[in-house]
Amino acid sequence: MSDDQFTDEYGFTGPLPVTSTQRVVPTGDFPPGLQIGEAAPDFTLPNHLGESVTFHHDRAGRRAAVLFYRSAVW
Amino acid sequence: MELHQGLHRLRDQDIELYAISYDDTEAIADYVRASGVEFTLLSDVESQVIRRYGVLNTIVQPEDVPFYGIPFPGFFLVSEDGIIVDKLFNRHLANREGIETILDSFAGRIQPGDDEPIESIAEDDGIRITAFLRGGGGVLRVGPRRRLVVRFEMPDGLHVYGEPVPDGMVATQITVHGPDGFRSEPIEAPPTEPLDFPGLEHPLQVWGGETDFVIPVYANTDLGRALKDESDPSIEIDVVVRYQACDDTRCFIPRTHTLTLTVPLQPGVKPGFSRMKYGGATAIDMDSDAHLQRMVERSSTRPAGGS
Repeated sequence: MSDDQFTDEYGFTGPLPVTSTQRVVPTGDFPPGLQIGEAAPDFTLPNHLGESVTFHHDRAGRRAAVLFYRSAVW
Repeated sequence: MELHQGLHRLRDQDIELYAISYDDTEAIADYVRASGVEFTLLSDVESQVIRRYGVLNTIVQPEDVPFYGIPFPGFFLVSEDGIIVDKLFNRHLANREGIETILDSFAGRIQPGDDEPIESIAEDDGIRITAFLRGGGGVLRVGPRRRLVVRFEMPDGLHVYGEPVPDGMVATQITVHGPDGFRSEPIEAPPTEPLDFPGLEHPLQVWGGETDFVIPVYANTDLGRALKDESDPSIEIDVVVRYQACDDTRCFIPRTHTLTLTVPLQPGVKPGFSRMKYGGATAIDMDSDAHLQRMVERSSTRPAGGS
């Protein structure tokens, strides 16, 4: 392991210090977000081609998974 | 992301996938090019939808440029009529879920996949125990979480015990053993049912029928490093199960079984930064430095505290 790398309590090694906010694990209310049983709010966002996608219109009555991830970049 | 590998199975079930991050469209376009993913990637640069769904990562503070604005990683499942029917989020950024979790959650039952490691034993007391690794096509990678499932199938009238048990009886115990760098989290057990037993002051706590014990597992960097020089690496995971089965009138002797799963290990996939090196991971073919640079510029022109 090089000097600029660290290993956190989960055993993941990365370039960020163990104390960095990106590596701290939340302890409060979890899981976060809207509750099961609530209506999923509609939204419109651009896709990778820059086209606007409106959630409920696009899924057109199909079931859907709305997945949140940190970044495609890092 | 390894989601695209199982995407056809979502399509088979007519389930649409929308993946949202705070990346700009240029970054996700580059990612689509480099990775070949075929589901919908959406750009939420101001984290508006992330906030609307209540999943802004609050551990990351506004001054943490350019990381502020990311969500907690996880997903919501939405029914045909637009209602949230399930959700699953991870606390740790390196833990991620796969297609199988989405499929199982919609189906309401964990189903072993065709290629996933599975071992099973049937006892003469009538109980069948199956251990299988669910997720990622049965392949372990550094980072993504899998579920190790220990399924008890018990004939009518037979049950096994949860804590607390009276003296002389054995509560169900499951332990998981693997090499360094293989990590398991606490067992998720379904609630027990109370069972009144003649002569006992308190009801017994039992499981019967089909009962799944789920152990979240993952490989960390140590495992990736240890196996990086092997051409076809795999690890053995021992699942040790101890239990005692009883019906309403008699008990069988306690049993201990070890089910050994052989699990292939493959490198994780990491962003394409020119200066970053990760143990046991291969970098994706895109210039992440340029995208990160834009992210920094965008963050530093945003009003303090975000929008």
